[in-house]
Amino acid sequence: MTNADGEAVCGGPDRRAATSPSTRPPTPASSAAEKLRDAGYTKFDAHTPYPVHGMDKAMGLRDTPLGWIVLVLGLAGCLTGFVMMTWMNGIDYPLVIGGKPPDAIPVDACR
Amino acid sequence: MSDVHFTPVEEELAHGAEAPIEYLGERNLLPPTITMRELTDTICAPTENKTPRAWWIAFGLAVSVAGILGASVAWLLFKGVGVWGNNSPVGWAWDITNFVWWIGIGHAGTLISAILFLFRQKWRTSINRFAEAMTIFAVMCAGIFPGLHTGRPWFDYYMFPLPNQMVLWPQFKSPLMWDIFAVSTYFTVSALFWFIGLIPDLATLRDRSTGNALPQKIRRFAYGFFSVGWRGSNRHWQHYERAYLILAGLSTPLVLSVHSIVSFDFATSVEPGWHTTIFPPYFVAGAVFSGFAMVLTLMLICRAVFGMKDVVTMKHLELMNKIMLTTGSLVGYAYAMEFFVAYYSGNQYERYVFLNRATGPYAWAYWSMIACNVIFPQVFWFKRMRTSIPADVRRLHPYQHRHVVRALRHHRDDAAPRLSPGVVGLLFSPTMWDMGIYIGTFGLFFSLFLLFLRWLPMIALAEVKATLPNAHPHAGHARHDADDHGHDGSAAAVPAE
Amino acid sequence: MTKWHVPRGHELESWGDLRGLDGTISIQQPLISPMFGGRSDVEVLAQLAGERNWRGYYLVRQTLRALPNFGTVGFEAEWRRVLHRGFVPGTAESPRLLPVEGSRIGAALGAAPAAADGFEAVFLADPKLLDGRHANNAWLLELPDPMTRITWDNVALLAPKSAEQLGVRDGDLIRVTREGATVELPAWRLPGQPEKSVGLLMGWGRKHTGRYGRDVGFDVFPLRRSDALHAAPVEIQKAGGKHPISQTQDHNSMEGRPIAIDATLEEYKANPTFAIQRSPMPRALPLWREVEYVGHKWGLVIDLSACTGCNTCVIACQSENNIPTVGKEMVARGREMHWLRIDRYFVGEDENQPEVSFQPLGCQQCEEAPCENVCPVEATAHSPEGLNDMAYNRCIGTRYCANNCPYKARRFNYLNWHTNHEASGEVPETKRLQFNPNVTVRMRGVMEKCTYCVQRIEMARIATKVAGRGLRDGDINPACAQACPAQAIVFGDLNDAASRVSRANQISRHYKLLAEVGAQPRTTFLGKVRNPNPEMSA
Repeated sequence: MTNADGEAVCGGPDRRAATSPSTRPPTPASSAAEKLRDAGYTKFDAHTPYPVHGMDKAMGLRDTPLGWIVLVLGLAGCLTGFVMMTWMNGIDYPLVIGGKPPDAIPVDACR
Repeated sequence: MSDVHFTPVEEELAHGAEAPIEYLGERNLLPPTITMRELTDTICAPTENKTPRAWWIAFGLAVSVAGILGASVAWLLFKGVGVWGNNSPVGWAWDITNFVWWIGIGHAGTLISAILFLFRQKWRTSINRFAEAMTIFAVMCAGIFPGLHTGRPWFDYYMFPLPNQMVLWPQFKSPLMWDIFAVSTYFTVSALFWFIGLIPDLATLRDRSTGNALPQKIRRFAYGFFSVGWRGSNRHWQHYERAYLILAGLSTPLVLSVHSIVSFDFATSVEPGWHTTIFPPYFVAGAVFSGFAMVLTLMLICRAVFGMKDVVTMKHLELMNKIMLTTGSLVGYAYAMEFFVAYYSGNQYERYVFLNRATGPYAWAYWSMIACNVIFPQVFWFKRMRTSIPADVRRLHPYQHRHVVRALRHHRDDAAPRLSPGVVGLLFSPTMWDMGIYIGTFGLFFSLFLLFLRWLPMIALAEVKATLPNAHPHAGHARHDADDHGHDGSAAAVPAE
Repeated sequence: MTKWHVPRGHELESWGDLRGLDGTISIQQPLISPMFGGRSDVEVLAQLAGERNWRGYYLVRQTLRALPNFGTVGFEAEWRRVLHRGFVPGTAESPRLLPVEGSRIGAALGAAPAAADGFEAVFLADPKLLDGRHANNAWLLELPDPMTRITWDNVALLAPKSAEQLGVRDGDLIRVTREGATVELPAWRLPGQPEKSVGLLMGWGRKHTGRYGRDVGFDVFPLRRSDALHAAPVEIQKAGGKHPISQTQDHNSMEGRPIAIDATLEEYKANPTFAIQRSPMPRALPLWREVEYVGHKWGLVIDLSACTGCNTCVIACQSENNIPTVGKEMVARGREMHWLRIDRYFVGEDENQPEVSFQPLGCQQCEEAPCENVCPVEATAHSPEGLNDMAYNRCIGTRYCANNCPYKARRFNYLNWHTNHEASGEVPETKRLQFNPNVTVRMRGVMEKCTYCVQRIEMARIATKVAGRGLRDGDINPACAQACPAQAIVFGDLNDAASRVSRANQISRHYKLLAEVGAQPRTTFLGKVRNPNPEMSA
């Protein structure tokens, strides 16, 4: 199926499932996507009410870069926190707290 | 609701006619005949139907109780912490107890949503939304206490790293600072987790709000706004699933770390009875235990009231009871170990504190705690008990009570004068304002929870759908499953991730 | 009933003259003009006697004018010199020796009416209110009784065994009857009280005394008549009912812990370091480099052998540091504010013959203070001279420091004590006049504790700098050390090897309280050595 924009629209199994509960196995949209992918289409999409497994591969999508973004931002946040604490307690205004060194790293571990 | 007839799983269990079991995650948790549309209708119904009178009554009640919180807080702010029963040496009493308790209640939500997700426990899908909402509201209730327990709450901002006229910074050696960061991280991640899970379901609600009447328009706008343009595209799902996985990965250490850090408030101190290395795991086990009790309570009510017996089945309850048995026994082990270590340490102060716990003025609290938390859950060794609702119901009250008792015990202990028996061995007795603020947080919690039940899908629709048997590609497409999930064996369920 | 009241001037508002112990005449000079138009005793007497010039100033001058040899160089010049000095030189009397007739003392002791079956009441001047003259002094009302640690009340002291016979427990009301006069008051078990004897503290239960002392405690004067001023036979019944009692300490025993460490003279001779052996320093290598204090390093030593538990230091501290009183209900809730408290322990095997140890306890100014580690806002930290300082305006009142204090030396302002517990409102004018201007008045929600009288340290520092010299040992005296009549408290610089406090730290009886915690307290103690006179023991 293609809509006016040239995107392929695949119905999810929902529609069929509604009519025939458990007797008939649904035809997965992914097989349609595979065909489109193999036919060379790249700008098409599949709309489903829940994630359908294998669809990414069937559509030929690249892996999401989200993990790397989170990793970089997470490390940046970690570093910012560490620098902040060390600077505040150890450099900007060191005080004798409980007789301990003001910039001790072990205390940073718990935060 | 549909008129399709299906066999309630309870009956199956009662008659011993079990669905075939492969392994835990693979059983058919939902009646095999339920359709996607029925599921959507069932789950969306509470948000779309006319507000039931019972809801208004419950909400009115909850808001009134929350009003007690408002009044108690106002009086507290006007007069000072002295309106509570706190004293010296019991500097912390119900304030921190309630904080610890509410944070603990929140734990079950994260456990269900994150850890069970990573372990591919599909039964979680029926209850995770619910439990996550509970987590968030519980952490909100918890957050009230550290903010208000201070002597001068209007200066609480000193605890944030903000430049100020005193050029002082927060003191990062203090476990209270760790608390601030741990709890705020926990809240942020839990809220994000919940919200991301909600997006596809909000879009469903948006799409179902058809018509040009004003309420429908408002619904369309509100659900549309918060579903941030979700169209169910596979590209959306791709990012969504990764984000969900990452958040689950982040939440999992948080489940363990938050209550560990809360326990550091006590464990890193020098007070006998507090200065204990077993506290972190013990607090976490206790938190999961009481959190599950809370989830069960709320779920049993909602399941009955909103007719969700097909979505939250007796199998779910049985599995939850198994976790309660495990964590209850863990807590029991911790109790025993505390005593052993106090004995083994040879430290007379420690020994005194623990003996005093079991035989002193708070012995009644101690033994009722042992009874509720350790002895009573042992009935769940029996399947019959695990699968009987009366057992669930009976259990609830003491369970909720126990955490209060437990935390109170910790906070009371410093009154057992370690070092200078010269200090008055004061017993703590709460004032009406202590009780008001505690009861009031229940009002706040249930107000928020009722709003959630009324306006948001209380069950993770998209995730449940993915576990339905008819959501599976059969025979010819088993290859994808095999690729993605190794040995899923039977194609009974497509994992929800 | 009286219809007229005279506003009596306080001694700090009045002129007067008095004689010292050796008879030297000295001049009592007012520090402030009478705040409420009060008149001194002599002024009232002079007016009644019809003096036209009845002002105290005039009367005192008149008295001096009448002295022989006064004012040989002119009265005004001599008067000014006397005012400057404070006393009139050369007015001491020569001492005379009077023989003591032991037999008369013995006879007087024997004359006490012995109770045949019933109880014998012993009338005791209250350690705080005396005969009741201080009954409206909130400081003294809240000051714990040295032995019972009871505040805001008096009780009937009974031997534990007598209480058992009567079937009463602490706080149970008893009825004490003597020839028709009856007093109802709470019973209290006090180890060491003789059996069949009931100790009654005078000076309480006054009806007309002011807003603090009115109806506080129980009046025992109805039982005391001129025929038996010190002791009288009485009957005691259980009255039923209970009176709530506020105590600041309810432990009688140390329960075997090395807290207020003591030894007999023989034990001390055999083992002069008995104290530090019972409370040894933990043997562990430090995990970090310990802070070194160059310059001054203040320290305090308390000699438990010298301490008599008289409470003077507690009141001196309260006066110096603007410490509020909190009232009976709040003491019952453990919210008393005394920065310095005295713990009292009964020692010994026999409940009827206990020994008593007193231990004054304030902030121990730990080198590695557990309170500082847990404060989230740096409101408590070490000063460059090693004091554990409190920054009141930074404190947000989490009370974590107090929870983590092994000595429970920290006090929290649960309410606005200075404004009669109201959230807002003015501090009364008289109270403001009473405040020490060098010490911050703390508001509600703030933690506070002993500072070693840091304001005195700073004042001495400034004064010696102005005088062009450095601080010397003895320049600084915290209020407690200054007030202690037994000189049991010594303050000074630990970095100065010759200072009294450094020398006290070399004494063999020296120990640190709860050394096992490892907080390294700076306040240290000298263990108590008992050397009772065998002739005095019963």
